[in-house]
Amino acid sequence: MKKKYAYKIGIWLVTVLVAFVIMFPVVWIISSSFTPEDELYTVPVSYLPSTPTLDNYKVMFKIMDVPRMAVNTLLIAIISIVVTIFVAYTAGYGFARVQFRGKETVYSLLTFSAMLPMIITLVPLSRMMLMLKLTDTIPGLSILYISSYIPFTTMIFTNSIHDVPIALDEAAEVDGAGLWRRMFAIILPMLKPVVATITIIIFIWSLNEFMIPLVFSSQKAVPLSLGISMVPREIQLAIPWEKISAMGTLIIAPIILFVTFFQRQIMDGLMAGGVKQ
Amino acid sequence: MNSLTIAPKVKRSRAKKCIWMLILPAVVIRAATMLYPLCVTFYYSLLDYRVTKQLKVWGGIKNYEKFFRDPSIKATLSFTLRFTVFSMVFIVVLGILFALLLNVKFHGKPFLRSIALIPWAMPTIVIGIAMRWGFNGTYGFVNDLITRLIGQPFNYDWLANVGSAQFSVIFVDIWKNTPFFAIMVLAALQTIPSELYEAARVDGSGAIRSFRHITLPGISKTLGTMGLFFTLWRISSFDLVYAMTSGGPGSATSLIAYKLMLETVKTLNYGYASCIAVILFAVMVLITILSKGIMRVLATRGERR
Repeated sequence: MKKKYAYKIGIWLVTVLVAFVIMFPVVWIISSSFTPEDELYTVPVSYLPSTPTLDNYKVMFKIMDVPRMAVNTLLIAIISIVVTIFVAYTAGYGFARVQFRGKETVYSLLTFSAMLPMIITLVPLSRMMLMLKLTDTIPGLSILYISSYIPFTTMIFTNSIHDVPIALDEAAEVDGAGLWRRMFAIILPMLKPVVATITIIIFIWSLNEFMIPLVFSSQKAVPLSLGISMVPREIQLAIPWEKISAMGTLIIAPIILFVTFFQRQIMDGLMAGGVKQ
Repeated sequence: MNSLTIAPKVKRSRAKKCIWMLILPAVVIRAATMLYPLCVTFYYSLLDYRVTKQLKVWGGIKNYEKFFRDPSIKATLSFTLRFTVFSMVFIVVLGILFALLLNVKFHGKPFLRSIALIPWAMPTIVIGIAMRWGFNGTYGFVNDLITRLIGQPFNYDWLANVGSAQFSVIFVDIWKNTPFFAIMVLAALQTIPSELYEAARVDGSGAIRSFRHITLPGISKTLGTMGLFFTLWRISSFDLVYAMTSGGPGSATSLIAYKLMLETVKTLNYGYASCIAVILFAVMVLITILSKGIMRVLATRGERR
């Protein structure tokens, strides 16, 4: 009994330590954003504002077009979610339900390409985007986001469609349902949890994306993740922490909300193979 | 009679057309944004292609010669290797421990799981810029925490010195990625039937013994696959150093992918950038083949035993 008690206390101690290490920088960013500017540049560091203020946000909104960046971020996220799910679901259905020559090859090529980062194709990609006049546009950025999400989402859909009994398709076919009806009115509704999970994960992935906007957007289609790196700095090593922390909080607040609300779905999705950095 | 034998054939061929339609969008998008540009990258790497000089002529293996003569590449490669190895060792070891903690049944479980997702969900660019400030010599919280801990003023400019800058970058990388690795290990842990542990306990084997003989074999496949993925991501990561150190001091923390990024967006030497990309690609393929081979050998050895 005593041993069990000690074990429990030990587990809680480790939990608190882990939580502290993980949460400290996050809490520090958020609390800094509400701290008056002059209090941020003091030694020792003051972690909680004496008088919380929104001044940092006001300054931030004045020097940068934050609402526009937020709208860009959301637009790209929504387009990416809708198109990726459509493309990956139809492909997954094709891979899971029908036998055709070359299927294995195409599928393994697709999954292998999941390991290749977009960074190795940047030069030709930037030439192509320029030629197609897609640089610095929402559709242009979205197509690249979508491309990088397709391999993993296709794998997840293929696996989960495999788990749906094929008898359902056959019964529907006997009843005269065409391919599209079978796919979208009968099988897709059964995969609601998978779709929800993928939606949430793509949303977080798209907020995280930095390389694509860094290379392919300059003024118009700037999302928040690129915006925070564009906050003007006087010296490279010195950071305008009052502005950066405000911008950082704007980005991580929805992420933290999502993670706490949808902890279970995200976990399920990641464990089902949603592996992408 | 005739029509009956023909009908299914017609139907099947129509179905086949549909199937190609189904997978076509995914395949076309991937081919246009990955396969095709990858081939072009190979071609560009053989050109003397510099935007600033409006030059685009055949260069043969000039870029590759430059790569192996470039003095800054040596620092880049050595830090990329160190970054990958140190990060991976800690991510794997701490990740397994964290996964074991996440698997314990207790009241704090949902809380701990939410927290584990936060570093994964945090944009690298945000945490990178924040930690550039966090490791600041004067106002950073790292020095402040150490000061409070040891009770006397501690001032050290972490990002201004080679060794400590490299340490800081690796530290933040471990912070960001260990929880994600742990979640993937957790998925494998949950597939191990609990009866195995009970049987082991009845047989009188301790925690360490059951970890070695039940847990490790149970998660080894995941460790292999995830280890490979995480290694490839370490090798191709650039955003953390972009945000945290800009590759400095000097080029002490300039990872290979960061170097590739600079050539692509700053110096605009497209030929050289493509050459670095090809080398990066070759290294990644090599690692993939090697690790697949090692995993296969380990698997057959495990079976024989």
